[in-house]
Amino acid sequence: MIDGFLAGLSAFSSWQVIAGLFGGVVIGYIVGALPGLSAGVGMALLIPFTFGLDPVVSVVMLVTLYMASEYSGAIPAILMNTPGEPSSAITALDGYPMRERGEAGEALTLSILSSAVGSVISTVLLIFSVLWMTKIALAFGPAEYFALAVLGLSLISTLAGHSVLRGFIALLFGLLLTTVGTDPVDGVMRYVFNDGLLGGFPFIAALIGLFALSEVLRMLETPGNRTTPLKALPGLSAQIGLLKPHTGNMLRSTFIGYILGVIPGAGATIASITAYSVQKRFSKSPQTFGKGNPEGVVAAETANNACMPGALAPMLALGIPGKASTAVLVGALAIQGVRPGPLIFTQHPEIPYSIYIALLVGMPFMVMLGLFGSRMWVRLTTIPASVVTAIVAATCLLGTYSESNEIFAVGVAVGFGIVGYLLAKVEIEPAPIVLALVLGYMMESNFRRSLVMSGDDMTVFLREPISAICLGLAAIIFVAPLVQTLLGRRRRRAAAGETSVLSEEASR
Amino acid sequence: MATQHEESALDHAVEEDEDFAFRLELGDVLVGAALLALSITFWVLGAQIDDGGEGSIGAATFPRGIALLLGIGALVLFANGLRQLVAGPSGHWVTIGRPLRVLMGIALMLAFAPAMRAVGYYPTMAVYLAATLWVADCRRPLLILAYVAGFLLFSKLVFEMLLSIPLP
Repeated sequence: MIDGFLAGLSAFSSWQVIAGLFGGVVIGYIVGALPGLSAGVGMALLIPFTFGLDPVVSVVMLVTLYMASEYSGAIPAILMNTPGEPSSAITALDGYPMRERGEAGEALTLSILSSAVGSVISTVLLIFSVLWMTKIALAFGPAEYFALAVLGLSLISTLAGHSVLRGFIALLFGLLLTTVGTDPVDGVMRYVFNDGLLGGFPFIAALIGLFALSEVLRMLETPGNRTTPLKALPGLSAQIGLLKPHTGNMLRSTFIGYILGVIPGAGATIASITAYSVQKRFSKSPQTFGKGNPEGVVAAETANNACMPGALAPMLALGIPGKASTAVLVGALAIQGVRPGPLIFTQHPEIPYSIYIALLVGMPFMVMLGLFGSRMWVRLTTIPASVVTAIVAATCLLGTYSESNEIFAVGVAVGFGIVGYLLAKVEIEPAPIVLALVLGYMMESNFRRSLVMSGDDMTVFLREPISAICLGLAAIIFVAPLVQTLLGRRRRRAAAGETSVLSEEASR
Repeated sequence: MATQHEESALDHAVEEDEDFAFRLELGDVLVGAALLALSITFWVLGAQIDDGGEGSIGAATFPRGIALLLGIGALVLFANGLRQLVAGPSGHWVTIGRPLRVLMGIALMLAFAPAMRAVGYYPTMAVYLAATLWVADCRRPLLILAYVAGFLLFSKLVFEMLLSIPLP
């Protein structure tokens, strides 16, 4: 390991590597902040420029782009309720209400600092656990993935708002929409009335519609000449202190993000949702989640940034890209003649170790960019609402088109925007719909694959230990709120009974 | 002259745009009925899906199962709403502020994709952005022009030139 680090460090003595690192951070910061452009798209766009570069320069540039875009997706999520990255949708749940209270500066500061903490700790975890974590991740088969999806869906009670029925309706509505497109096992067309739906509803378009375009319609309801009062942002050293009350939250969320990052296919969105839900259960004020609780911003941002180094583990150790961004990275390395997998640690030690160093060295630069940038970004909140409304709408439509180069996707975003606006009016929140859109395909495909592999034996889900544990946890999470409600009712009845007995005795 | 008259009538209607409120229960009934119709559609169309794949669970089972569950949920929402609607006011209201502006916003969004297909990105975005700024209360023509020009320049520089994303 020491030799590997020395090889990586020697690569960092080159000015090209340092320039690649800074360039990657800046480009990632811009790409992540543009709605519709994900880290994977940004990396894919950069690949043609890396052909002639040294492999280390190329990989450092792409990895730091990936890292910075995972963070900067939070900027439009907080300022405009428009997630720059899918995983930032959870950040918007509390970040945007904070912005509406004039606390955009605090929300942005918390998001950059918690992202940094999540990413750095997760990188350290990656360095020391890359090989054995990957072995655990490979134990995941269809049954385990199905159970993981069910566990994710059980978090509905955290995102549903005050009505469980409305939460379930939103979840089922989202699940129903995931069945549109080509069937995941047999390849049969389902509800495809337009060629654009062959692959199902485009996820980014749906996300932008549900969160941002619906918000645009809501913004049109109020006079456009208003501006949000802006609370003063403390000095840079005091900004660091904002994290102090969130230590436990960040450690939990980092761990969740890293674990879910290692599992191929799980990804940053599931990590953010899980960390957010777990924090809501640990919080002393869970009722303020979704209304601008900083804990929600910290949990979501820590987890989605901790997920990123986790996603590199199976890629480096086995050559298996767990998500689109790491697949692009594998492609970029292949162009350079480097094949990720177990041999990379002996044949090209400078590559994995320069990735580790890039993540650790690039982070302070990203934090500085984020902290100074937040002072500039918060000024956006002083722009009149009329201008913000129109610019958000235009950015969303442009971002949706640029993500897929399909005008159909723009129509989908508009459709989801209108539906999201109308459903929100009757208190059906968009978050459970997004949860279902993330997990629906994963749940169905793995459920059916498990049954095909086990010869239609339903007990397969309980025979596999990881699957059984996930399903057990999901059952507890589903049932716990109902038990709490029943116990609460019983206590209230008992208290009411005691009061009536006492009043009867008093009247005698 | 007629155009001026029409413009002032539109301005007047927009300025007079009053909030529209209705009982939450009515919203529940309407949304419940819409979701029920959607789930019935998915259930019925699901019967036409080729379900003869491997294993006992075919391509139609999952969507039809979800449609059934959503149908039940929507029915409960619809029935609860109807019961409360009959029982009398609960005090829960749904308010749509400035509904005319919201409707104009929806109409502009709906027109965007077909217009982009017909005349291309730049003219569509110019008209869309200017109209949305106007609907959202920005009434200074020079400011509208500046924002539109700035946004189109941003699209050209960042998306077309920097990121090499062709805009139609």
